[in-house]
Amino acid sequence: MRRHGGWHCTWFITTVVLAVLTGTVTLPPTVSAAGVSSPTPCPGVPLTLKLGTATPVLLVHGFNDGPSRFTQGSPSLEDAIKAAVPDTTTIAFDYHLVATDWVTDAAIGPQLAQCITWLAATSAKQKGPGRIIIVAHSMGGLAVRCALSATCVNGPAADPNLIRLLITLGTPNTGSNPQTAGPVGDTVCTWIPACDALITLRSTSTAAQAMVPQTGQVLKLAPLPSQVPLVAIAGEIAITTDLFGSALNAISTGAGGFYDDGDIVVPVDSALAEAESSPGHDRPGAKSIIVNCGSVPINLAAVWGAATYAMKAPAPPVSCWHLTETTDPRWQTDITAAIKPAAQALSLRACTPAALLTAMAAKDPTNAAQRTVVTYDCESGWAVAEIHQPLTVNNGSVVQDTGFAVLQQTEPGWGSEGLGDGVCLHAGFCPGYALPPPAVLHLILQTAGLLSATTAQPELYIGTQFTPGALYKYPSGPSKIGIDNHDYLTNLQWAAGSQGDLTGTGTLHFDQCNPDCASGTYETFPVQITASNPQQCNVQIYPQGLANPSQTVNADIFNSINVQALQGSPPAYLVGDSVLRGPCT
Amino acid sequence: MTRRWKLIAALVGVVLLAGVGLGLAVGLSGPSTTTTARATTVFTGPQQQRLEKGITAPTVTSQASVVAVEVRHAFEARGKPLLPAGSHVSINQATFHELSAQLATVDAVVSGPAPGRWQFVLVRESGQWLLVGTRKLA
Repeated sequence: MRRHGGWHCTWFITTVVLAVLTGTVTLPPTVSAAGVSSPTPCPGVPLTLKLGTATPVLLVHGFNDGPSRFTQGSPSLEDAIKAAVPDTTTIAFDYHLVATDWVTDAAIGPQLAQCITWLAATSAKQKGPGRIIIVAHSMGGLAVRCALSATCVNGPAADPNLIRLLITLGTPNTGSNPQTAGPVGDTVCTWIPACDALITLRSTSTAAQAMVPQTGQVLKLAPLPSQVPLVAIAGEIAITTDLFGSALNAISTGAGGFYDDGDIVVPVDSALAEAESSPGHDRPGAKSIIVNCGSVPINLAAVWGAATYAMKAPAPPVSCWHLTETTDPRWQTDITAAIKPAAQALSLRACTPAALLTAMAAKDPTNAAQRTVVTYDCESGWAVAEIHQPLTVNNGSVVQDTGFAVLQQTEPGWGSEGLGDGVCLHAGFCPGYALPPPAVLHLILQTAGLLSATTAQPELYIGTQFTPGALYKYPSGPSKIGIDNHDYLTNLQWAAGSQGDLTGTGTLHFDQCNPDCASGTYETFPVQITASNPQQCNVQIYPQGLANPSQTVNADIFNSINVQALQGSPPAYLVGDSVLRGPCT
Repeated sequence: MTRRWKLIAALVGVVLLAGVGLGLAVGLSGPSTTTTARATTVFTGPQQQRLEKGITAPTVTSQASVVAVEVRHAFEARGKPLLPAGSHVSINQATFHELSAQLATVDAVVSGPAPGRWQFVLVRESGQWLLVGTRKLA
């Protein structure tokens, strides 16, 4: 027994007062003192949370602490993450009012399970990746383990597949230090309130009791599900000494040492326990990181101890410890380095042009770099995008081709079902393509403004004695048309008409044939062409030019093409319906 | 009670009071005062003598018996004695100061080939105070 009972109360009060005064615990103004109730399952997070397509990063604080853990420091961990991985949104899970209770408390593990589920669903709803990244400090990592265990939450646990990455910082997976770190480590702990609280609060705190190594409830906590990718980071503080001027650095607290002092509060082995495979607990791909936090010169115990007590934190040459794991630059670098690839991978699941283009490029690499998304939408794991990409036509020129991609969300990202002209989407049946359920498809097309674009539209057929017969997809057309051996249309630009018809504007060149047609001068007139009256019939097209054989195809085409002068009076035979007569009789 | 016995009783009383005063002073200084009161761990005369003799013992192996478990292996592996042969250690028991129930410091004077004043850092293991570090005093 370290303490006389009468001191417990005094120390409890002192510790709490010190914690509040020193900023260890800061009461956030947005959370009522009555409890951690919140309009959302994530305490302190508003219903109006705007995640957008960014990757959510959930921050979970530890024992006797609060969400201010992640806003302290320069930069704070929140700011460091935002700076290093811009397309992320950090959200802190707040259980500070019950932060000395064990993780089975309804407001901790069970609440966190709901928060994880809600946050992932909110992300999906806002076209984000629908998966989250969690950074948990200290006991926060045990809260995550609890949230993923139906036994621990005594109800529905969070789905481990919703977590793309869990990073734990000094999480006491097998318990915390006090009374196990040996005489040196234990003494150091008593000099620092944040560590000593684990002992002084043991009579009143269920969490402090639970984290006693070898006997505490922590040993009964379910292991982290193996499918959760884990990066476990531990701090290691060595203990050095000197015997009559001869240095001895062999009192390493890490592997091979007699005691594992870890980051003063949590031993290295405990912090890394979940990252290591053990019988019945396979952990493929888990990563362990040990940060060297300097050393305690035990031969200078009196001087160093006094400084440590005064600072309420380990004095130099200790460079980091349990409570600097969110603010220390080396820890922040390790944290953001782990988040970056995970966030990049998750961004491929978001409903963004970049993610959709990546999937399309994987399916069809041709001209992928020049491909652009004009409009798109996603719903229920499906996406439809209208795209433009360069297309080389018969005469060698390059035009912007309009196409449509249907994509389906898979675990790693989007999978492109292929590219097409989109006409079949209107019918809801595209042979060779997997399509979303009709209601989902309709919603996507409607939201993306693609309903009319993907509706089957007649094509424009132009074929004269001086223009090889060709079909043009709605709403396109030729840039020039030869009418006869003298007169022609140029600078033609086409657009969809308001009535489902097709309109074009351009210039009519009329040969005045004066004194003769060969040497005659031309008069020009601005004209408008309107194609309407869709009909289906056989038409002759010359895909290889007039010099090569024609093909007869059955097509749904505009059979009325009307030319009208916008200014001036061209001859009657160059205006009206008969100039570019439709082929269907 | 004879006058002589009264004098002896008075001296004992003074020593006891001084001891209590010293104990209070020790208890109220340094990091340990910042935690809680605890049962004083006695640094006895035999323990002091055991340390003094052990530190200047003729062999590394015998010196190792007064070196803390945490550093014993490293000390033995190094194979060099703590102090040169012919050294003498005198511990000032009055300077014994507990940093915790398991850790304490005490000042000592080394005479012989490498004379000097040292502060010993002691760790309590299996009821014995053992040497875990030293700091040279000015």
